[in-house]
Amino acid sequence: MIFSPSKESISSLLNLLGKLLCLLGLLFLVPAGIALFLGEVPALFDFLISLFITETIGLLFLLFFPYKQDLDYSLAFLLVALVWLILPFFSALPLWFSGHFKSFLDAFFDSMSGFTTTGLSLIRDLDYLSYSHNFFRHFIMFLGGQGIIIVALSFSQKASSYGVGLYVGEAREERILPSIISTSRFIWTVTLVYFIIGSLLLFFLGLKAGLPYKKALFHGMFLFMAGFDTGGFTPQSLNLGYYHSLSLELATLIVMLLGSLNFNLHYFLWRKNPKEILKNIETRTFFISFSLLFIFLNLTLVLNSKIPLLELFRKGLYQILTAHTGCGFSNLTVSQLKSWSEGSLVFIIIAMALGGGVGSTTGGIKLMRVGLLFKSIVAEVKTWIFPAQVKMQEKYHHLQDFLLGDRRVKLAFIVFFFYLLSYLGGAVIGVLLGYPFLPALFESTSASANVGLTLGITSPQMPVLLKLTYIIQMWTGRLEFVSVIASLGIIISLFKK
Amino acid sequence: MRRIFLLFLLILTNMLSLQAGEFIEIKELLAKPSFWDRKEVEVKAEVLDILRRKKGSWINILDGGVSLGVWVPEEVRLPQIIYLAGPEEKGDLIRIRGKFYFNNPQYLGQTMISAEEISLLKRGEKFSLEPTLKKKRALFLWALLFLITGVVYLIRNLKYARRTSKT
Repeated sequence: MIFSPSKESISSLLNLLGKLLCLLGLLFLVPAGIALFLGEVPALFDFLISLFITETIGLLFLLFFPYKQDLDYSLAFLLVALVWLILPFFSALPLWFSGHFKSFLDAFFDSMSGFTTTGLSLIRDLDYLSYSHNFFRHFIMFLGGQGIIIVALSFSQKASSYGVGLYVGEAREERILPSIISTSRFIWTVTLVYFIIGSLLLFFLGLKAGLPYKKALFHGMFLFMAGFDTGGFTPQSLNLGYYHSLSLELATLIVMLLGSLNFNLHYFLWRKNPKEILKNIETRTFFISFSLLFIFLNLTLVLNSKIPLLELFRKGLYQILTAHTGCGFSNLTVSQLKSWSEGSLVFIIIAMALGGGVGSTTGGIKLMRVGLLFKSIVAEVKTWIFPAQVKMQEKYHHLQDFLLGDRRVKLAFIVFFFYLLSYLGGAVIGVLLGYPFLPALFESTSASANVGLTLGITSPQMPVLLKLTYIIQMWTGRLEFVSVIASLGIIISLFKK
Repeated sequence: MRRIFLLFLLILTNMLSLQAGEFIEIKELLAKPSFWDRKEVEVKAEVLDILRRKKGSWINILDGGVSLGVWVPEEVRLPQIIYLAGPEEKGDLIRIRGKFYFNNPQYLGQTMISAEEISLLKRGEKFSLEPTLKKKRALFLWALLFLITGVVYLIRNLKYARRTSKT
């Protein structure tokens, strides 16, 4: 039997979409305020025009589609999928008005990249971009990293029956506190505390690097927002290389590591048992995968070029961590990354593909799933080795001890499979459009795992089809395919009705 | 005969391009890094930023949308820089002569130019920060539409609230 939504629930869905559009419109007031404060008048106009357009469309949705009944659990997935398409669309407006994009599609690409915390960009003349527009790019990254639904839920007063569907649909599997709203608020509290500390730290390091006060302050905020939400946008085209500062690079490493942690682990660090971090399957998987990739990457770098040890450490460590956490900051120029051997690039691709913690701001397959799949392989091998009479049950620790169940492994495998399909699918399209396989795979993995590292394929000059492919990959990758696939099912059911 | 003529033409164009292309674009340096690595180069670029350090300064420069870091040791005279390329200003245009490094081991492998001589070519300027007429019109139009929709929405909500309070 195929679930088919009623007209009433569709009307309610569009009503909620209208409410979220109105909320987005209000959020435009933040960069508009910054533009006003800094006297960036053209930018202020861009944000006000976008605000009025978004609010008008949002109100029209509210007028024509009244809220008639609560959404079904599965319809919540459709709402999430639509929200993650429509909000980036409207957020592309001020970017497009800035005149820094070749087409609206390019602005939409950047907006989607921001919301999904990817970090790939098609912007032209980034170094001339106004502070308020730059703030907006990082701000949408911040909102997207936390989760648009999380933002909306934090504002709500009462929990709705479909709230759980929205929360799960946004690729968050776990609740930290009993209710979704308190969980959303906890996530925001953690983020805001880190935001103040992190931005201040980066501000002082920026000053030490030689930046003037205004620039150091804004860049501190920008780098924190893009780093903690593992987004990877930077305010200057030279990326992290702009600052010529090792201490600032190290600080961004800490910020991105914190961002890649599961928010449940933050909760344990803050309120319960900090030792959890040593026992947790995700942190253990991260430690193993990071160590192996770091060693292999450095080996390939040493074998292919005579790099001094400290330089090797700086480049190897940063690239593996930025890829593994899905941040996408880089202390190398694109030419330097392109000059690396194919072997080195393969390890970066693997790190990007794996991703960070479940329930964090990172993309990719995620450590929990990698850990579970690895454990299930070990369990299977054990059954081959030991006699049939010996019954073994594999366990894993994530906040508490769990038995390794078939359903969990199956779910992990399904998501793993979809990611693999997406990585390869994007690469095949890249190859068909004339790019070599490895750079095409690198870029496709970077888009799908929401990382943002690039070998130079992503540029305003790339074919429209590839831009669309990466937009879809960023969107589906951020939602971990669940909401998108569920939505496709619902749309098909509407036609079959 | 035709081949000789073509060869002559090729040599002539090469010579002319060498004379005309006194400056190397940053894009060119980054496109063929192994060729330019550790060679004396001369670039013309806008100043993005000056980061002052103990034994010199880092200058970030911008040329044709591509940026690069330049290390200026304290013994190299830096001309007075007033305008920095950014949202409000077109940066001062400078000429830099120095050695290009694709991976400079002295600076943990940064791609950069180590400057030997810097001179000012053209003073930058402030940009006009006036919104265009098109933007002003768009703002007026959308503000009006928003106002109308908002009023209609409020009236409908008020009517609905009255109806529900009666029942």
